[in-house]
Amino acid sequence: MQTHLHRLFESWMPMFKYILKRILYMALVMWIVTSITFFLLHAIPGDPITAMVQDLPEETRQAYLVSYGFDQPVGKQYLMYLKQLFSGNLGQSLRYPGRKVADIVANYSPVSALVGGIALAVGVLLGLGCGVLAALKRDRWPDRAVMLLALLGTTIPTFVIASVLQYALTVTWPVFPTTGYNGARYLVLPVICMCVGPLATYARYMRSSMLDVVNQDYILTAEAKGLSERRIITHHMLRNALLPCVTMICVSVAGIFSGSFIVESIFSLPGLGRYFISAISDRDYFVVLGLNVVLTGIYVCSILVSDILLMLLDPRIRTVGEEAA
Amino acid sequence: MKKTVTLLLALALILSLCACGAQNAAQTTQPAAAVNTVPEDNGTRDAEQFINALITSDPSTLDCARFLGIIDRNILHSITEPLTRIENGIVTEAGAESWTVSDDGLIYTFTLRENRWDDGESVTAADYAFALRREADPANAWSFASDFFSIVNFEAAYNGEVSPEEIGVVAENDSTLVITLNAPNPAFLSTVDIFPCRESDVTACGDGYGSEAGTFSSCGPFKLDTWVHNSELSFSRNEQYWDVKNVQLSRFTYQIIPDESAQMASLENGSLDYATVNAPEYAAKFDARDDLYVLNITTDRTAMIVFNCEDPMLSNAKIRQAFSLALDRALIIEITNGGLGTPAFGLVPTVCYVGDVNFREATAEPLLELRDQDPAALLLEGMAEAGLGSDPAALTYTFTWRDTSAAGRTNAELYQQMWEDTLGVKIEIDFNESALASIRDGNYQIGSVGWGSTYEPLFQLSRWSTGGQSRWVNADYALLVSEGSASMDDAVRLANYQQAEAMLISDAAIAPTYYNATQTYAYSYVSGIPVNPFDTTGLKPLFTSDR
Repeated sequence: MQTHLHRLFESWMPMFKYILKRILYMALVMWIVTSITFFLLHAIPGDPITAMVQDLPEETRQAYLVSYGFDQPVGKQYLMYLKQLFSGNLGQSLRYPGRKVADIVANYSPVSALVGGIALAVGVLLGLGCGVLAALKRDRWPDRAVMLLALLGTTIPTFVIASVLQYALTVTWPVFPTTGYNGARYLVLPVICMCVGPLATYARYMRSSMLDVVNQDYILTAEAKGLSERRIITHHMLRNALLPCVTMICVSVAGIFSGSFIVESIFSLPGLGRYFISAISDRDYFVVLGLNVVLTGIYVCSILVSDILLMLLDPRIRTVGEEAA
Repeated sequence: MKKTVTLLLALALILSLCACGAQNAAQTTQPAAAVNTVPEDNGTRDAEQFINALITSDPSTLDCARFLGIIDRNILHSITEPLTRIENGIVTEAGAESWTVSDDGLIYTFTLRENRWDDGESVTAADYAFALRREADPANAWSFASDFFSIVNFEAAYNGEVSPEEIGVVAENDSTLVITLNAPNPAFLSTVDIFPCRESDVTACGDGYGSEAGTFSSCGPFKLDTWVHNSELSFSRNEQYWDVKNVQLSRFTYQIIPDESAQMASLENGSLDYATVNAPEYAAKFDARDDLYVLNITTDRTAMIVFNCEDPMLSNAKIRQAFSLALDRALIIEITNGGLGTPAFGLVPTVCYVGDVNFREATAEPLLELRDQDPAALLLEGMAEAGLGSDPAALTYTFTWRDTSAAGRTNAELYQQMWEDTLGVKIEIDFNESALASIRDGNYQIGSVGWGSTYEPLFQLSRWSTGGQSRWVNADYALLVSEGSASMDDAVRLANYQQAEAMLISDAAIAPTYYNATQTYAYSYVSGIPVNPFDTTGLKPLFTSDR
């Protein structure tokens, strides 16, 4: 019994080591990203108070800069920020006095995640379906139609789709509410706008992935064994074609927390996307940095999760992982 | 296969053409209604009074000491009762029932009226005094603190030299507040909002005070019920308010919509009851509707060109005058501002008053006197005086411009073309998103800025007392402004300000271009939207009839 456990431990040990190493790398990546953001942000001319208040007397501006330590050398400010970060404090918004960055994340990323999550789910499912359809009907009209839609979906900017949809369905035919966040009806238009992108991307991706698989020897073998076409598609083609999509989905999931600046602005959704982008033009240093830390964290975690998932799904990668460890 | 695709495309084309056709038909059948005027009050009132209004960004905070922008300030006027308000351009009693000013103009004694917070507790003089001490405390207040520097010890407290307890504000009893100034300031009450703030709220909510609904109490006409950041704020009537019988709206919302097309869609389908519409293409659309009317609102802002007077190429007044006179102001308004605004030949906008005299009506615009002169000839004279030779084409000036959008670039090129065509000089445009910082630090030659004003012209005039963005140093000017601002005699103040403005403009330290204006389109059932840019009434005067 003990040897069995021991053996199990032995066989998983390299993977644990690998994961631990990955986590250390992640910490390094986050530190680098934070530092780059910090210095880039401070390299932009201007300061928070000038960005926020019109007609500002110069003496008020100076007093403000001093009170936040923005008159100090950038290096010193950097050390102060790192110290604050290590004490677990993401800081406070300058543009919105009294709002903590941690609260902003806690209150508004769920809204972005809800809208983005639904949009992603719809987009991925439809996109994968369309991709499979296009691949199976290659060079026939369903393929052409899907590819045309995918092309439009990736090339028409979101703000165009959003503004046109908004005008058509709230002014010309007033079916949905124009802006706001008061229940499911308010989510329909934003979700449609946001699922167009993933739909188009996943349709194209799945199509080419399927086409790669079609030419593999194991499909020929399966056909030679006399399996039904249905079984070949579901058990041999789909499973293998989906593998590359797993990585993409994990990364896309990380993306939903950051929200969409454009869609949130046009439909007045209380999400994180607007905070993030407007914080940059507002020179709201702590919000930009804090959100960046959190979103980078989510992103690197999702990459780790996708790698672990792939390892579990595909034994070949696990072997590589062991070698690496 | 190809046929199918072609067919599909053709179908899509036909459909879109049909849609266009339908739209055109609708446009031509609609009567070209003349723009409606503000509706007369026929006495009817809707039983359910509510308004959906627009703001373009989330309020920074509704903490009356720390707020940052005009949006925040307007909301505070709806939910908090300042000592005095400006109504139709006149300072009137609000939280204070009456006040007296000592003969030397230094001591203001306010008698408060019986007003209550939304939980029924009385608003006391101590609440007003606490708010001012909090504003003076360098630990938490900074944004508009300099507005209050005329109060005794306020600046010293703000700079940490004395305790905020020592500022010249005393609550003598629950209904008497005494404020002492350093020097007479006739513009004091028309410049500052003195809001009350309850110490117990601040103690309870700490740093979060004012950042969410429920973190502060209201004592104004309305109270804040919900605040969904970046989306919507909703308000209802404060039944404890002293003047509740004159508050007709029972509720209103501010929808936070930053995107212009979304704002216009919301106004078009009635999700908003009124909104600012400045883009000509949208304005034309709303002009064609007979259920909306338009309010033309002159703002308190003057757009202007500033010259760096320390630059040898611009230190000569005649050269600057030439640049100022070379501008076709009507064309600038037409092209850069959608036709909204009035050409400016002075600094002080038409909405400013000295005492109860309208400054602009009493004062000819200084630049008009120079208008007959030929800018090209002026430039040559100036060049000769400054030793810059006699060939304007040899001079290259840099024009620092902030807006890097496509439209912004076109606008900058308009100025470039005017100067190059009229004066023969060469203009290079420096597109620079941090143009304001460059202009502030003196790293520019010619720049474009705008300044808002307060009720009295002092704020705008005093920007140039120490040179300002133009780095134009003139001791006589500074003296005129400071002596004028300290005089309680309206006539003296007016005369000083008039002389100062004339000096600034005819010496061309700046070249005013236009007094800005905006348009508000409202559904005809909405009444009471304030049109005076200085009014601090919030949404208190609004009502609806026959919605």
